[in-house]
Amino acid sequence: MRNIVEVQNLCVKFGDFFAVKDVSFAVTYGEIFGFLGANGAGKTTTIRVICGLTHATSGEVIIAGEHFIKGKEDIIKANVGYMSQRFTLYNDLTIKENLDFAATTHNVSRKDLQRNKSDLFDLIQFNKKESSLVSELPSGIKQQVALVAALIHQPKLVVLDEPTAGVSPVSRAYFWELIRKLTKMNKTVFVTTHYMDEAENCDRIALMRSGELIAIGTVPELKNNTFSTQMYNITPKKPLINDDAESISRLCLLFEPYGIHYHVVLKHDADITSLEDKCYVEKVNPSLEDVFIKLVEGDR
Amino acid sequence: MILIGFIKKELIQTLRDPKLGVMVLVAPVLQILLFGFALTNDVVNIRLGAYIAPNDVIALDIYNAAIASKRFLPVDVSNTAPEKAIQQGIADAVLVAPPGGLTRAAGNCNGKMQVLVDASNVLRAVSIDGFIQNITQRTCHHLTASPLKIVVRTLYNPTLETTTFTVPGVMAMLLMTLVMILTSTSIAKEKESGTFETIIAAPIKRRHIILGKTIPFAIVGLFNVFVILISGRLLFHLPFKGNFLVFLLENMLFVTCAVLVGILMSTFVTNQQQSMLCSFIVIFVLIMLSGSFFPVENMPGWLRILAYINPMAHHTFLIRNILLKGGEPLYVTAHMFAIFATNVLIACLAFKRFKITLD
Repeated sequence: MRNIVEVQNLCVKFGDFFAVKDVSFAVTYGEIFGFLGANGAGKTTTIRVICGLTHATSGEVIIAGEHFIKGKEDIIKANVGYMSQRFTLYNDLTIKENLDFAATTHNVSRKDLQRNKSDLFDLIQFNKKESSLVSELPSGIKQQVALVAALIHQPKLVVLDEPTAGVSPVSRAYFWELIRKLTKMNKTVFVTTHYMDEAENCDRIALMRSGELIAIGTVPELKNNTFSTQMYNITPKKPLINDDAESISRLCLLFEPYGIHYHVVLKHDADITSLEDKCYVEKVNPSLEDVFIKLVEGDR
Repeated sequence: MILIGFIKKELIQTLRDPKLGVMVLVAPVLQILLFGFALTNDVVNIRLGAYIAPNDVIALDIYNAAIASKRFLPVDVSNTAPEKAIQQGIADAVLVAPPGGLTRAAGNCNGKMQVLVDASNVLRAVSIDGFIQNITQRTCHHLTASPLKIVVRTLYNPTLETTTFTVPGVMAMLLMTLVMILTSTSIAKEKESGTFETIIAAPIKRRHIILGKTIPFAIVGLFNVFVILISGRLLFHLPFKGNFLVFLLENMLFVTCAVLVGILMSTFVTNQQQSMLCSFIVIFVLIMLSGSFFPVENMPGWLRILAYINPMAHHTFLIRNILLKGGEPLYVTAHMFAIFATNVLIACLAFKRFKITLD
């Protein structure tokens, strides 16, 4: 399988602080690659290097076979469509004016602009007037217009930095439908998100913590590798008092609240029947959120 | 308690931003310095030329007494016609003795000496008139039987209209303020809203962004030149004695300068608040050192050096020269070259500092 993104031993240092430390991974053509991590984990910095917005301190970034070196930035940038966290459109311009400007910055001809715009509007089933001011649009529509702007030059790689932050659950779900449609158009999607339910849609996921890559794989791989023993969902019969919680946590490798329930993974020598007098117990498969908590936040 | 909470929070926010903190400290110090030194109507450093024969004792006495008063600086105008010396900006005033000399005329009870004064700066012209009259009286009252008469000819603003001096200064100030703030704030706004990130993610060159930001605001600036000029002509009957194309070319140079200053300033700021504060400080310094309202000649030497590297000062000199004096070619060329050189310098600095990454 060919790689569209290859990151090798990437380091980004600000003063004495390593924002990204010796990170290596690859993204293959046509996949949805999720990039997860807590705030400050180094996701956005890595994305910025991939998009040519920040220089790497050391290491290599190869996009569509081109090394990110001086003089080749433009070739690489032409292959990348970037949508930042804040749907960076001009609020005081209309949809058409925003898209025209985005096309100009990528040197898209008028003919190609019309064709690409028409294809992308079909993709997102867009039915608003192009003469609408962006400031008058709801967040969900702004997000879709920002996606069209990021794709107007038909890039091979689409980099989405927390694209669903601040939009309604309905818009989030619809946006992920669009992301899946993009892969059918031979686009590779590199996406960061804080929503674990969304991340389950990714073909592969990389997890970052404190500037380092701590895990990479498909969702089942990550779950299996992180939890080799059975996970249980326990529901206390009565609200747990501190002593109860402490005695249960002593038996567990993982003991995390999950709504009114708890997700637990027992230590090898512990027996689940010992909890049954205080809790209702059922076997469950770990969610990606469990993986995230265990790997990314587990050491806190 | 609520009020204290608000006050505490605002102070912390203002002082925690290092750039804002510096501006808050720098602005008052600069203002005190410039107000103290530049804002003075005490007229000094008047360049005085003379058309006096070597044997014209009385006229030479007056000239020497003027120089000895320390308000006047001697300038050689022997190779230039008196009006030309003033038009070219070589002299602020020229003493012209009558044919045959003032000494002889005074002996014939017809002691009249002419003083040509550049009245494009009204306050300065009125003061020069007063000084010369005073010096003449003090120097010559014991020398001649009849009193000498000093005939003052005020050039370029014979009716001594104050607006003729101030309106060109206001034109320069408005143009610089408007264009510089528009440019700098526009770039700061892109940085603040995040659109700058999207722009630099595209295969775009630094020159595209700089020119893309320069040209539209230069057009806006040039449009404003016409608005301000027409307003000045209609409302204040501002004279226009120079060549329109020269005026246009000069304004194009100055508008480019204002845009470049705006771009350079934007490289030091990250948001619109910083941009506005920075503009306030820069504009204040540029105006104070431009001679728009307080003549550069009145400033102390070290401040005058700063004024002469201020492109707005050259623009103000030029606007006054073109509008009021018809634009003396040598003078216009020299000052336009000064603005051009400043533009090249600012463009190089702006280009060097303007980054198309987020590093």
